[in-house]
Amino acid sequence: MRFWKSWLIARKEFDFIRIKKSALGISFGLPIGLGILLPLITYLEITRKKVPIEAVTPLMGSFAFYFIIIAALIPVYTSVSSIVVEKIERSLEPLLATPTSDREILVGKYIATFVLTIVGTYIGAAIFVTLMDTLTRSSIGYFYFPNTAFDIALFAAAPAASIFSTAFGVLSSSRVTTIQSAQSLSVVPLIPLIIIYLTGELDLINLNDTSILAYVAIGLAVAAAIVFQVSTAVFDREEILTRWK
Amino acid sequence: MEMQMIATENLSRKFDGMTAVDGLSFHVDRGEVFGLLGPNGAGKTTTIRMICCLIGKTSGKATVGGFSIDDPAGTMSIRKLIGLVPDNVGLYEFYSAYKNLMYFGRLYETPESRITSNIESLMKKLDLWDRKDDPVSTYSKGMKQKVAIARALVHDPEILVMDEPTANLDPEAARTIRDTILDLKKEGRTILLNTHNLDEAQRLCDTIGILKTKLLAVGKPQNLERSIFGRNTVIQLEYAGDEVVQAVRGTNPRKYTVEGNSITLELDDPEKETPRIVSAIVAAGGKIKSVNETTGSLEDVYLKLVRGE
Ligand SMILES: Nc1ncnc2c1ncn2[C@@H]1O[C@H](COP(=O)(O)OP(=O)(O)OP(=O)(O)O)[C@@H](O)[C@H]1O
Ligand SMILES: [Mg+2]
Repeated sequence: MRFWKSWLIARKEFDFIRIKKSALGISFGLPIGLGILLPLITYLEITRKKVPIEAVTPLMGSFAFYFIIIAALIPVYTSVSSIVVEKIERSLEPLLATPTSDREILVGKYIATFVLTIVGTYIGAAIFVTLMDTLTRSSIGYFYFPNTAFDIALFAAAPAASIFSTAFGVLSSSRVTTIQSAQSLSVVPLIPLIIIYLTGELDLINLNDTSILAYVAIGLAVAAAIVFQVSTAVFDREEILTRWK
Repeated sequence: MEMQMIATENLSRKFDGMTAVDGLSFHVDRGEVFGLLGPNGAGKTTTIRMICCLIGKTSGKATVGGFSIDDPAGTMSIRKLIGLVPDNVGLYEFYSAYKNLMYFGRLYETPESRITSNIESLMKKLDLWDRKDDPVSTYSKGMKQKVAIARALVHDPEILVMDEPTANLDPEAARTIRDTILDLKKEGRTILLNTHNLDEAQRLCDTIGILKTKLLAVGKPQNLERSIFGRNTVIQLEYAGDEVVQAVRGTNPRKYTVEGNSITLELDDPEKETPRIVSAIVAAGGKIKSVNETTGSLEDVYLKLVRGE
């Protein structure tokens, strides 16, 4: 496994994404939109509806979870399309004919998706933190963000969620034969996250609890490691070259 | 230095029980242009994909540059030895031709300075240099095909493998590609070429293998024609009278037919028999205008084999 080769492939992916509006929209538009929207909602809750501060801060805390979900959502599109586009443009055949191993190719795709996802997510999170603090400082009396729970969500759980989801996308795009089925399959990693989020909304667990977030991060990391291994192990160049429609 | 750059032995490939390639044995020597000629679905693409280590084989053997396609370490060496022009160009349309070539030069682990000098000379030779920075999506089909050929050559491979390089091109573009292949042949590259174009096979290839799941025949174009149809000797006379025909019959040719003033002979050994027959005709007072050898065309050979006649 030569890292420079993966990096070469990742760079080509970046060049492609740069000109691809839909990928840019999903990778940056989505988290940035969220980073603006969530603080505005909070601000309205406080100023218009006069919701008491004790009720607002848990809500603010639980917003951190959105960034974990975002980090898992972006790769659903980008990881699948990075393989699917090669297939559609028929560039997989010349690529696979070069002296490059499956793992080098896949890791290149992982790097591209991961970097894009993390950069998008962190830009969104930075806007979120800045706006939120600016808009709520006077009501709460201190800067609510960042805090430990948010840090765990952003720096441990979100990267793990991104790798988990990327690996799942690569796995599904190399095992099924159409874009549609690849994309629908790669939504699967979102399901446990949404369940956890809803459980939090129903007050069954506390999403502001640092230990709960730490468990989520660890769970995602383990899942990411497993799916990553599986996705590189089962990637079958022959299958993907000859079976795709 | 005669060396087999590609050699296969009983190479076969099945897809879900359907045999696509059956017991293929052939070899391509260094500097040789070998054409695999066959109808749609004959297994041409499947064969070169096995040779380029893109798909596995079901049974048999194949070596490229001495490396076996079964040996995982060898396959990396095989990939470096080969430049592939696949049946679909598969270029990155959003990239310029230059960037496509740069990317592949690097994937092939070619030193950077070598890549840039190769790109420049290839693109100039192929008349692409003026458009080098335009996105490939703005190119015509013929230009894309040329870029695909340049991409296959950017790492200076010893072997060039092409899957129907002129399919879907207009006659002029096809001609340019053929001329390019002839130039590469002059440079002494080893070339394995798939085609279902007979004329192309005849013009470009030193050796032709006619494939229809099995390899039906292999040989030099002219030998293929001879081995399948034999050779005919046609003697044109000023006047083919009875005495002349009698004299010809007297030499015991395998078969002869008289049509107007020309006599067509099927001979077992034309080198020995023709002079004897000519003397006999002259002795009988015949006046010979010309003596020619003819044979069936490659097209006849191809159709005969492929139709299983
Ligand atoms: N991945 C695959 N799965 C199943 N069958 C396949 C696969 N690839 C090729 N085949 C079959 O194998 C046979 C040979 O196909 P191949 O593409 O090698 O032919 P070809 O000579 O290249 O034809 P063409 O001139 O149309 O390109 C065909 O019958 C084809 O349907
Ligand atoms: Mg083919």
